[in-house]
Amino acid sequence: MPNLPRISLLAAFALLTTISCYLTPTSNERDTRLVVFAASSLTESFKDAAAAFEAENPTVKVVLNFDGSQRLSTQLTHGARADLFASADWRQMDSIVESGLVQGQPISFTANRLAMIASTLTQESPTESTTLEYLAQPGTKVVLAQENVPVGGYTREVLKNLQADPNLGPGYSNRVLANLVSEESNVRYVAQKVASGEADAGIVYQTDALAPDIRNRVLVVAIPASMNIAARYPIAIMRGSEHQDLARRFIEFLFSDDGEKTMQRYGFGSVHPGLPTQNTSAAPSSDSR
Amino acid sequence: MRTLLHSPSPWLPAGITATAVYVVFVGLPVAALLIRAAQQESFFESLTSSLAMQALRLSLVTSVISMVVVVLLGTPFAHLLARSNSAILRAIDSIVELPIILPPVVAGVAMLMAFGRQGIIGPALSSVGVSIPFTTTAVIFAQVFVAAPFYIRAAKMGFQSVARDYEDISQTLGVSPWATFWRLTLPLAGPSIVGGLALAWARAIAEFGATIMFAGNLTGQTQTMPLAIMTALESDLGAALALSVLLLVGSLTVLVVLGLFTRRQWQGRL
Repeated sequence: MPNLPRISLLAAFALLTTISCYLTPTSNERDTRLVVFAASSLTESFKDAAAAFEAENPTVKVVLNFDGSQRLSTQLTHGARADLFASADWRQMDSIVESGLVQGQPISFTANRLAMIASTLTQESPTESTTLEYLAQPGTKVVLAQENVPVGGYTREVLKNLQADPNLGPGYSNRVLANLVSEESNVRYVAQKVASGEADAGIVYQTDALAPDIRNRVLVVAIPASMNIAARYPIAIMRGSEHQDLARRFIEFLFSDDGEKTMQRYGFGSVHPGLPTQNTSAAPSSDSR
Repeated sequence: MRTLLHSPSPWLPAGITATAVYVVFVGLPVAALLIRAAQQESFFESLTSSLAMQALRLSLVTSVISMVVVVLLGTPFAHLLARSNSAILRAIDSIVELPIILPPVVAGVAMLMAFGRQGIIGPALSSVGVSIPFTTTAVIFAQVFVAAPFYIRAAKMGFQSVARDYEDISQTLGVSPWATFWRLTLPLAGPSIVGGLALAWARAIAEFGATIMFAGNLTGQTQTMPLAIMTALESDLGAALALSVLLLVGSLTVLVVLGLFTRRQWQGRL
């Protein structure tokens, strides 16, 4: 009688080896890896931009890592290797510039705005008349990003701005924060919690409200431009990068016509030196549901 | 060298090397945590900050409630598993430990799919006005889910270690079944049960993945110590270090108390 446990152990080992070989990418022709750490709100747009950049540069593989900018900047501070860092705000970018991790100067490459989203799944389904007041209504389960996440910082700024609206009133910000049920570590978690119907409403970038797996499941309520913020996204080349030229070309691509069109397709605004333009055409409207 | 082993072993050099490597591998990060925390000027301020205190309080309250639930549910369950031979119970027994193997984040997703507002029984719960996600209750759910198997497994083994003959003799001597349980079975199974409870409690305190997935992250409501550490790490390393040291000291205390307790039990028996 052959030793059954030993044979099965060998078989399992062989199987695992085969599987891991199969899973290992064998793209020898793309031997240069450009590692990009990017804010989670850039998920779709940067995947697209990376694909276009790879098409132009056949030897390059763009490796994307998306998360809240504060998490990425923490990882970079503690030694994570990347060639480029695209942050959703200057606060997180400045913190890694101060750590001496950035080569040259960061530059703003795109702009964004905030919008409110409400779940269409929850019981008291929001109607056409749902307004920003919904966030402050007692019983609404509100999810926002943590204060140190770029969108979380912007959100608290906008909530204060909105108190100037006579319909919302001076206590608006506190009323909304009193409805908070969870603080998330990146904007996609906020969007997902609302889209899945576990939470009632939240504040995200207008671009997240347009993301494919979000837009059909939420109702978007625009925040008036006068009380909104202009979130500017800086990008920088990391000092430790071994592909400085390639990294520079990726930034140039973002500023090219193709690059700007890619960003605009996902609802981002373009940045002219010092002044982000308002991308009103991409602002959430009633047909974005 | 003979003092290390009873008989010469070809493994000795490798054993010593491996021991040294392992002790450094585990000891260095632990020591580094303490050193870095000690270097923080605001260590005690961080330790007593509102974020830390609220997280500590929440972790203690939820884990104690979880342990009460685990003991109330787990003890009779473990006793039944230890005493019955039914095929159904054997089958249940074999999946009791699933949550130990299951990645906690999967547990979180699974609980959301079951108890979430859009979960399988979510609408039924909503209709009676109950909503579990994003509440302190959800934190307790997550802790019970991941920690209970540690207690059930240990309690079952504890009960199994008590020979049924003892119980039979006790009862033939006229002691009632309940009195037999309290005065004979429980004291004999005690060390196992306490050990299991300590492990379960440590696991409940450590719970992160299922909690953040199912209960969310809100200071004072659902933000337990591990979640507070994760949150603080991204804005205030000092606070993250202070909280980490607190959990480290707590864990070491559990380990030491557990060691003393089990050793005393052994000494009593031998």
